[in-house]
Amino acid sequence: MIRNFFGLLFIFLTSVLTAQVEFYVKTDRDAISADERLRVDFVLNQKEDDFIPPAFKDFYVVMGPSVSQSYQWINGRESFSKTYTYIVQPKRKGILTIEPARVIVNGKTYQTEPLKIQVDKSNAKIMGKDRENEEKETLQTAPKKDIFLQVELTKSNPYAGEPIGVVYRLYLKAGTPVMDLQLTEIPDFEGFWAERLDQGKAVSSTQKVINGIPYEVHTIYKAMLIPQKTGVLKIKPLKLEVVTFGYEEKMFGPFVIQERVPKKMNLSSGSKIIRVKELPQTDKPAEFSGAVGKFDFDLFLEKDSVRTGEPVILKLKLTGKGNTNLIELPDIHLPPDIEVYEPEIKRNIKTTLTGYSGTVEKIYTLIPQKGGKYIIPPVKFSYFDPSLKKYVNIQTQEKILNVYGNNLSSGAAISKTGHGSKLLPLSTSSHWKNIEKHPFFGSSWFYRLHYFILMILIVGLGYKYILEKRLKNPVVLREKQTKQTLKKLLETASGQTGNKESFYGTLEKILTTYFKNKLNLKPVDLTHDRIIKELYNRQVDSKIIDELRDFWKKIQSVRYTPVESGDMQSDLQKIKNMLERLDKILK
Amino acid sequence: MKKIRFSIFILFIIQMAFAQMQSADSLFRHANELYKQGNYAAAEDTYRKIAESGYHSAELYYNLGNTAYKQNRLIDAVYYFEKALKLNPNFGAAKDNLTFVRRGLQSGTEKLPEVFYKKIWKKFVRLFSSDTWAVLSLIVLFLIAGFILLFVFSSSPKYKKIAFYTLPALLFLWFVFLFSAYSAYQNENKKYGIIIQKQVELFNEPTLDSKVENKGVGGEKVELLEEDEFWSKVKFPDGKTYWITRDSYKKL
Repeated sequence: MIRNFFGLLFIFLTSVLTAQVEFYVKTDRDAISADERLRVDFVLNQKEDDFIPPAFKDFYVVMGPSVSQSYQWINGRESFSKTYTYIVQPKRKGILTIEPARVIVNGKTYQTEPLKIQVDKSNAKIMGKDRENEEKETLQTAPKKDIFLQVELTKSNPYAGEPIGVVYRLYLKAGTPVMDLQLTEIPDFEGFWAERLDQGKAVSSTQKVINGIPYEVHTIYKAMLIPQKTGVLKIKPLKLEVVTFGYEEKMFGPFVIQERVPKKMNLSSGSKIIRVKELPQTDKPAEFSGAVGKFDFDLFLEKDSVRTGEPVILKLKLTGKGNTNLIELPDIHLPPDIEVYEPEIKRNIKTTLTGYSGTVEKIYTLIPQKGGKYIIPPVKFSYFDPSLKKYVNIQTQEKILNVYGNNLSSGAAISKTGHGSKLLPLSTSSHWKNIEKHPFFGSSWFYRLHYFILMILIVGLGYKYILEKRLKNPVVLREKQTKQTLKKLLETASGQTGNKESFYGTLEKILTTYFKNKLNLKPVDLTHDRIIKELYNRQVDSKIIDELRDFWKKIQSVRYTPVESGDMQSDLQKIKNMLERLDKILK
Repeated sequence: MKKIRFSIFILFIIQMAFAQMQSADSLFRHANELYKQGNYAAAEDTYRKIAESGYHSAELYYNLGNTAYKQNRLIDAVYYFEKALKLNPNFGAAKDNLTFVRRGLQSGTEKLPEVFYKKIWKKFVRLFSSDTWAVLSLIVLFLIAGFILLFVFSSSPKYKKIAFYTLPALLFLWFVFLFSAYSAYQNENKKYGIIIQKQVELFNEPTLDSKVENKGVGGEKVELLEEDEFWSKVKFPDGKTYWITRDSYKKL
């Protein structure tokens, strides 16, 4: 609240202190016809100021601002006025508004009232046949002078890169004799790419009637300008020296005579302000390379089927109007097996007041080295269209170049593999597989088989371990030793079949060893009776026991009586049989 | 009774499979015929029918590649030849045609040169499929078990000696085969994609504002490392990884 109060106070004080500031707008008329020009004055009674002109949305600014100042002393009071003058032309009919202009004096802003101007239908007749006369920006208001220089622009707020035209015209009241005409200063068009259009041509002149007064209009200088910078650019005035005839009154004795004398005049066109707009940054395509205007872009391939080594022409063609000469055409990216020569640029361009117009061609010569199909990829080109106020993208069609014939074997490009110039033919047979994959590696069966092998190994090793352990047991060890002794004795016996005595002696020994071990008897107890008793105790079949008894008897009788000699071979067999049978019972 | 029913079922399955394979064969021949007549679109449809029936083969994809090429669809042709090579990495004709077709496309990123021993190892692994390697490794493992048992049980010093000296060699072989099976399995299960757009924007991260200057080219084979709904992290032949949008490639 307090702050507001102080703010108000401040405004009040400053307005009191500078109460004498006056700023208003006036025009020479408040109703004009559409082709007439209007003088607009902004008058200020202050010396120091910062003037902000109105936008003049409904008008073309033909001239201005020009500034004039005047001092006056009336009754000892000083009065000062500063006037900003514009000459404007309406853009359309109807009630148009001149927007408020602003000035900043001592940090405070003042503004004029908006002014309404009624614009009626055109009533001027267009004279002359030259087309230039039909251009909008021709001077229609009555000039005060007989000779004046006028500058006209096709557009005063172009986009960066958008071509505009500038024309300087000299207006001479009909009948004004001109002796000499010389351009003394040509603007350098700083910030623009400028191209003069009428170079070398004779100065054209046309007739024009302005407010009933006939004028000769001479086009002095014409140029196409392409803004290279954004922001406010100023075109410096063009200066012209004109020599006409003037009449000088001379006293010749008592007479006053008029003498024709050359009169030198320096004319200046005045400077022009151009507001260059920046191209929009949003939606700016990646391929955009500064083209502004209206274009057509295409790719042409001379043939789509060609023999290896035979050249093919590929053309990128840009047609249209705009800053054509300042545009680089995009490059083409081709497969590496097509040899490409440095492209040739062909321009067929006319410079006009509103831009370059015509075609630019980028011509490539391609020499395919190997057979096959080649994709000529699409080429993208984008430009900014100032009339649509947006970017336009053009993409050419994809092309396919068919190359036939044998591969060229150039020394430089040795292919790593010997690939041919044709596609290899189809397979005629096929080994079908299920689309669903069941890889064996990592599957459950893969692991099961591993377990299986591992089990075999474990079982085998386990078995071996048990065997080893048993071998270390003394009982088992003795049994094994007995077995080996028995085996040896049996072998000895079979070798002694000729010798009755030692043969049966060995058999006796076999039996003794066998029973000693099997029945776990001490040597003292190794009598036949004891053995048989033990066998009975172990419930051995009495048949076998009988057999054993008989056998012993036989051994004794054969050993100690020289008479009988048995069948030694069958006895050996018999004893083997008996031992086997006993083995089954005596575990 | 149950046993009989089961065996009939098995027989039926086998017969079905056999009939299907036969129909695949006849479709294949029919498609080949259409191809020879120059009716490439119909041939392609017929080949595709076989795949739809659940069967495929390296040869099927190879022929599909040829068919796509004849219809000027070079990138599709690359896709099919790569698919054929995935099923059979030693398919010479598919390799040749792939190189042949790639010639017509813009050159992509250079393949990273490999150290010679890695190259040799890769070639060795590619000799067989992972299944074959797995079977081989199992056979060797079986032999190892056999020789161990021979060494343990044999009383003859001669056999013991043989077993003793063979075992380390067998163990080494087993290790090599198993590792080959593993590598082959890894290779078989790597996910690849073929870039199907003419040019693909590459991104450093799965966000649209991380665009990179470089571009991917149609027909390039990329390894798929990560995938989500909209983005995929891929590895290009030159070993560089980028993110690309899911619609810019087709899975092999």
